[in-house]
Amino acid sequence: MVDNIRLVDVTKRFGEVIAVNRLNLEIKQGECFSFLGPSGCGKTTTLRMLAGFEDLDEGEMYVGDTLVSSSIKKYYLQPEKRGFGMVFQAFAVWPHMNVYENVAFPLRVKRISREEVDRRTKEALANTRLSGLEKSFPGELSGGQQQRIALARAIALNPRVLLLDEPLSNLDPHNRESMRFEIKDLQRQLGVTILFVTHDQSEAMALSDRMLVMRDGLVQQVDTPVNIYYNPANKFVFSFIGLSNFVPVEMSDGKVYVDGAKGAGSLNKGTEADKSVFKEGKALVAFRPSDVVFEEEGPIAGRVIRRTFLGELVDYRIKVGEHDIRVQKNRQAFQLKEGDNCRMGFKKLLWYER
Amino acid sequence: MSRLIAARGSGKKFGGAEIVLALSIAVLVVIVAVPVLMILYNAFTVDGKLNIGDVVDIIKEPDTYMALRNSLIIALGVTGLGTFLGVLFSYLVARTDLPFKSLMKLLFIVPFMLPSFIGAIAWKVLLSPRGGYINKMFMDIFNTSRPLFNIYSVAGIIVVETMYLFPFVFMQVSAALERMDPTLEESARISGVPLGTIMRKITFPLIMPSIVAGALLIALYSLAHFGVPAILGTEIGFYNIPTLIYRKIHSSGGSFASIRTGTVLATILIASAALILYLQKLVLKSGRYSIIAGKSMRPMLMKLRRSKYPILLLCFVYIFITVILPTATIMLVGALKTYGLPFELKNMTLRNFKYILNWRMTRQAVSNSLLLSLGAAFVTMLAGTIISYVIVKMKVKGKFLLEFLGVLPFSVPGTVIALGVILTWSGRFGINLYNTTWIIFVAYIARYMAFSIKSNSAALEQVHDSLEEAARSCGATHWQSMKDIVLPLIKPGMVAAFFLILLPALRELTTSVLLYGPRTRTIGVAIYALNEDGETVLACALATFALLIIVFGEIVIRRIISAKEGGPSGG
Repeated sequence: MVDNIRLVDVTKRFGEVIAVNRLNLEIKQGECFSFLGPSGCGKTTTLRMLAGFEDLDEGEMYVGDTLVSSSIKKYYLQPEKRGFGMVFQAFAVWPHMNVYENVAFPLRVKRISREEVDRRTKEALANTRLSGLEKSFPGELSGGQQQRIALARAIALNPRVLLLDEPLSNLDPHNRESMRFEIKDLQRQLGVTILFVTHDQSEAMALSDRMLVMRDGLVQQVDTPVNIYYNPANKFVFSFIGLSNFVPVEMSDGKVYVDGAKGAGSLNKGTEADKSVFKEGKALVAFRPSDVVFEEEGPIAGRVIRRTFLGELVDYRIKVGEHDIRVQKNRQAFQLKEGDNCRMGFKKLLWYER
Repeated sequence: MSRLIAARGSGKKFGGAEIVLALSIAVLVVIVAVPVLMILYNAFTVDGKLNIGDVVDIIKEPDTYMALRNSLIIALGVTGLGTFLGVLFSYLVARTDLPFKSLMKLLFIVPFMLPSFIGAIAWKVLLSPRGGYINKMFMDIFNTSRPLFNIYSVAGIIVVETMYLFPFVFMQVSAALERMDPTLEESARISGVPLGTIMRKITFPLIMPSIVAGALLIALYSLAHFGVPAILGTEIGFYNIPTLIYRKIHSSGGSFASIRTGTVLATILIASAALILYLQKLVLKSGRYSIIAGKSMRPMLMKLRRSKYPILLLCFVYIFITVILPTATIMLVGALKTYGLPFELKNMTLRNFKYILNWRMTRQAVSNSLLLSLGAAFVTMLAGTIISYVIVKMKVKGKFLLEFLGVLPFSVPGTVIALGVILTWSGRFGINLYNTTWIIFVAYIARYMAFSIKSNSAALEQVHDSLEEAARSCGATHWQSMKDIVLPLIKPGMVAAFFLILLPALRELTTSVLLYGPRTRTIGVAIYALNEDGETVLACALATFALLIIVFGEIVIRRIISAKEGGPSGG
């Protein structure tokens, strides 16, 4: 049986605020799917509705053919009956139980033989590299280890779906990165569907097969990380994912210039501007700092006002007219100095309304 | 920077810091330590020689032995019942979808503000075996000579005390339930654990330290409680430790033998209080799980469904019985022409209130209480501020002694303080304050010093050291930085301390009842004595005034504390 997750017209309000607005979504079985967005965008609310901790104001949710939540039928399957596993931001490991008991407790509650409980607990602990720490109490362990307990507890249940609510944001940067890969490996090994909420775009990119970008309760884009990065659906997605430059431009005689800097050169030499976004000859052009090329024949002239060495990268701030442009090159491109004049070309430009 | 440290540390031999420290220690020793030591000294010595055999003899005496037993029975009963009610109501308020929860949370704490001996008088009026209004009504309706409930009984004392002490558990446990990270329970739910099992295996083990801590506080207060057993137990010859001490000293006019029995009983109280506080410290230490929520999320609420309104009714009935009924009874009886008349408009009068306002004895009691509590609150607040400053901010050796002496009164019941003060200030050290207001004043300071130090220390800990250091580095002297930076920031804490002392001092009975003389009655003593003399109506009329003053004071302090929470924290 295919356990796809289906959300139909899901809406949630908190008083006047619409936390989630008519969300339609299908997540395939075995997929690693992430909800990404700034805080308060409705991503955690969506996850909690799926878990059964929040009721819906409108819409329905299915897992496979099973209805789990429905506002119309006033039907809500209890969270404990949904067969999900969940990992929380604040770990939520039980401080009065040791590592082994934390993982075994939910299994013991079910009608499973003692040997089976022991086998599954040990397997989950081994899968999360916690073997040997069975007798420790959570208070004695690091944040990363505590989060692994939570993960072990969730996977020991063989859940249909694993829900992760900002699972890495309470960890230090080093732990965060290694846990990221561990979760990905576990998902491949177990084939479980993972739904996970984060505000960290690199986390979402590294982990997900597909991701959903959300803002103010509204879906902005659902796609693979690569597509979202290269073909953002709108200005918000472009600015939210990765670094971005937005520069106001104006069109005159069919050519596009940076606002108030006609002398710096015309932008659409070689690239065609999307004319539909120009209103009264004004629009915005957007590009990634890494998509800027320093070249002598580049269409736009500027002046280096700041150069910062970041190790792997060199970060430049270039002045074009009254506007600042951020450029990132790898560390070999270190020739330009502060105060130098330069010319730039662009690998990819996106056009938006002002 | 190094100069700063030198100036603050013990670089100079006789710096200001050392003088302040020495003075604070001296104050605490004279006011707090000497009375307690005097009790221990008098309990264990006869004519300056150690005498343990005599102590055993005193404990073996039937009435002392009975008092010990009674104190224990009451403390166990009150602790058990109070813990049950406290946990039940805090769970209902914090974790269910009961309506009017915030209002109820407030109402459940109201008994805390009301003096329990006034409540006991109200229950005497309602449920004394013959004259009690409810019992009379019951006997009339069912044509029987058996009362519904005899309040002059162990059960009666336990029930009335419980009403006033259960908020200890209620407050501790509600705070724990509210602060607890809801995902600890949610993670169990999503793992398929049923609700009942979550409550037994997750929620209760995690709040257990708070339950035990609250229960031990109930035990601590109940063991040394004077008011309720004094009013409900004395009638049937039932004494606990504090009421027996009172009887011994009162009936013998302060004879040596009675004081000696008192000191032995007081020593037992001190020892049990110390044991209870030690246990509490152990429990809180072992139970320090970090269960505090990371981000503020609403905890999952148990749906009461069909039992919602019956439970709501039960809560309101409880609040009606514990708060409204006794308060209304006191006010109505205070307005009766003669005690025992039915509550009908034709039997009501304002004469009693006028009489109370004009009678020299009650006027004196009110003015004594006002002067004593205002004076004690002011002095204790100031002394507490200085002592807290030394404890929290100064880096001087020997301040652990201050900390110990500062919290010592927490474990010393009011009866014990009164006894210690009698032993210390009756001319033994050249100063005789007996039968003057000053002896009560000294006792109040000793009794409430811990409140002041606690409130002021909390405020001072909020003021980060760097704020003072910043002022010093800008060229301010130690005194200037204290005056312009520290004092304005801790002012709300000081004001809170003032009221935290003023209000309990206004309704104080346990200590004053052992210390008052013919002209030095306090409000509490006056109400108690009027009730003892059978002047129930006048006692209730005076109690009405006391309740009005207390309610007014509580409203003021609530305003101030909520303003403090909104104010600067400087952390």
